[in-house]
Amino acid sequence: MKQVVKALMLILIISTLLVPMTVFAVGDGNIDSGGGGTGQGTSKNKWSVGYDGVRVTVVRASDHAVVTIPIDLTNIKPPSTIFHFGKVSKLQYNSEVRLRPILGVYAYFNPAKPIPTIINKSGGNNIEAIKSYFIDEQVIRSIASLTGMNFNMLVNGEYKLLLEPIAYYTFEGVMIASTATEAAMYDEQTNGKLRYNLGTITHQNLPLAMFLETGDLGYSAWSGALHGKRTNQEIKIYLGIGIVRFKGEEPEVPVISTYDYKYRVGTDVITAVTVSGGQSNPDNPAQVKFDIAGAVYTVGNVYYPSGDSQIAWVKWRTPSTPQEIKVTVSVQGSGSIAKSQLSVKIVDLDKNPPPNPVADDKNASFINASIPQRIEKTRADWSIWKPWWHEYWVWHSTGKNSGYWCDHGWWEFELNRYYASLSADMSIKCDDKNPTAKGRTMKSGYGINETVTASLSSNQSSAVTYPQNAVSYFPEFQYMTYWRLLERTQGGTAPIFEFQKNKYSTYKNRTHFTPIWMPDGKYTVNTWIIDSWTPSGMLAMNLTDSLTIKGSLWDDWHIAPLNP
Amino acid sequence: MKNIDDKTKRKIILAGGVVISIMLIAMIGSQFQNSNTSDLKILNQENQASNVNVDSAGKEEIKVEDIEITGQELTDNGSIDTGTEQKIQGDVSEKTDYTQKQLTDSTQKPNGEKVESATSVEHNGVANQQTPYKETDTVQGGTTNSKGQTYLPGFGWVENSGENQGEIAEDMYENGNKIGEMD
Repeated sequence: MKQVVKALMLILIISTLLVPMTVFAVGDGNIDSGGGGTGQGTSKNKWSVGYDGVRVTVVRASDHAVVTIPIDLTNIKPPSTIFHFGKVSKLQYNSEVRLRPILGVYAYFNPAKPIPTIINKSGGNNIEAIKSYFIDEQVIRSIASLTGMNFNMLVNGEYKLLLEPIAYYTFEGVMIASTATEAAMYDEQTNGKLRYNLGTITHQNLPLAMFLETGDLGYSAWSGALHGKRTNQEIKIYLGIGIVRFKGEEPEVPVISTYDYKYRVGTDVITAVTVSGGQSNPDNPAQVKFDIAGAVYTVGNVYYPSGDSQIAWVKWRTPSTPQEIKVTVSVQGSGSIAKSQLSVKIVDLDKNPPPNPVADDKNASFINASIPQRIEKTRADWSIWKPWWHEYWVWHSTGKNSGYWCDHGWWEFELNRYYASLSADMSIKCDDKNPTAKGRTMKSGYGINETVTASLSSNQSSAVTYPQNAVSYFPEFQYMTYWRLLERTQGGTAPIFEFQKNKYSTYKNRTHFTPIWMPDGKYTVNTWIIDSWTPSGMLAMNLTDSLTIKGSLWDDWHIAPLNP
Repeated sequence: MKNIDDKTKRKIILAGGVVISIMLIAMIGSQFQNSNTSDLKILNQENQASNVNVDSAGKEEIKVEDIEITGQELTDNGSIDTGTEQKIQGDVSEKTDYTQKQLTDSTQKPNGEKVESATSVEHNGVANQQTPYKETDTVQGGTTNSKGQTYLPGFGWVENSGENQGEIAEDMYENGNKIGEMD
């Protein structure tokens, strides 16, 4: 009998070994080898070891501009039924580019010699091998060739390579290629379903495959946990990124502002924090308190599923005098915030108008300055988790023909997306009192008028403030030294801004006087429209318009004898 | 059985074992046949060496069809943005209150769903069915419709834009000269 049992055991072992092994990610995302899924839908969500790659983007160090189309490197040959989101880098997504799915036409390169493992199934990363590979001369020469970038230019210290790990995985029966940032954005699109089913890959091993040890290109170093699924917010801000720099160039450490927010006096503003940790639902809600200059604001209905986060914000009006204040933030209930005290600086921009121009002003050394790049952001996106109760009725018998229904339900969450979009325009013209202006040409020394129109569209008007301030800068002051805070002459959803009435104007017109010494040529005014606040920060635009200067005010005067 | 000698016994056992192993292989293998996605093959580099084509200058422009993105156009959501008691969204619908009669009627669930015969489950024996996300997809991912579009969960129907463009980067390998920095 023993021999029979032994023979049967041997047969069973051999037959088991003959079955092909596939790695499945099931439910909570357990990505381990060994055996196939159990239960519902296991084969619909899976990732296999080796199904990884890297997106490489050439970035100009000075302004973080993406200068070539990113390329994807991988050792696999994805099928044409693969979904992907195009060749978009993390930098572009962080500049409000939205996720756009594409089926097929996936462009990729298979290096002749395989690239190192990018994503480890065990969770740890393979960063030393990745570093060694992507700082290698021949690899960089090949990247230069594939991206169309001159190799010598690429390595001259003015450019950097931005690397992003890519995972190729099957989600709900379809194969998808995504970077960590794309996975986080796609998870929001699926209300958290991706994270739930494949989180160990898409929200752990993929984003933690690469992160910065030293901040660069505006991204901070990651100092958080090296294990466990990360939130979408953490991934978008910190994870799934590596940077190669050349010629001993130092990393550009992100500017650490002394202030978390800088506002203008007498302005409606929004201050926001991100709440995470545990789950916030109507049975166990998180409530955020903002203590601002003695007033305590309570913000409610802040919900999010386990493992995710939610932005919570308060709208308030800044005081009428410049000052620095501390905003203390606390969370009641589940959840916590990264920073419990925010520094806010409130400034008055109406303290530096140009001085009174006089007839004998001179500036022989004037050189036209270029217009500075002021912060510009024309679109903001944010989202709000909305919970709803999912009933799950179970019958509990208490005897023959008796019992009761018991609700074993749970809170489910859907993600509602919101946006705000700013558009604006400006025009300058010769002052109405200018006697010799011809169309858009005038003599220097006369005044100009300006009109700025702005428009904000949003699908959550209660979460935004319409543009409240506009500041004009002028070429005679190199667009810096002096400026004019414009007056909002029409409020509401489409505000209009004009110069304040000029106290040096004989007629008290809304005028800016050009200097009499202004050389002939183009006279360009720069206006920065600001203070349109959203939960995702301030929207702002840089505008310009020009007139032509030809001659000076002195040309309109002559000296002649009276009644000769 | 006493009439069967040891040699015959061994043959019977061996034959039985072979039959069982074939059945097991067939049963286990059948679990993988209904997968919606075909298994992917890792690129065999040696076999691909003849496909070297790094020059992308003559590459055809990729045209991507517009997709239908299913999504709702949201209007304001009931949030409160004034005063010291603010809310980022309106109040969430409360759980429905059911009557005692509804909660003890074995013929239908309290929400009105008819039940032929209620199966009793111990309170502590209820399996966890929880999913934290709200299911919004009504179509299985990967399903193809009459227009030839394929369903992507979270987005909806997407046109297939065509074949992939995979190329071999023949000159991409480490030569040992490290010229960059990465940390």
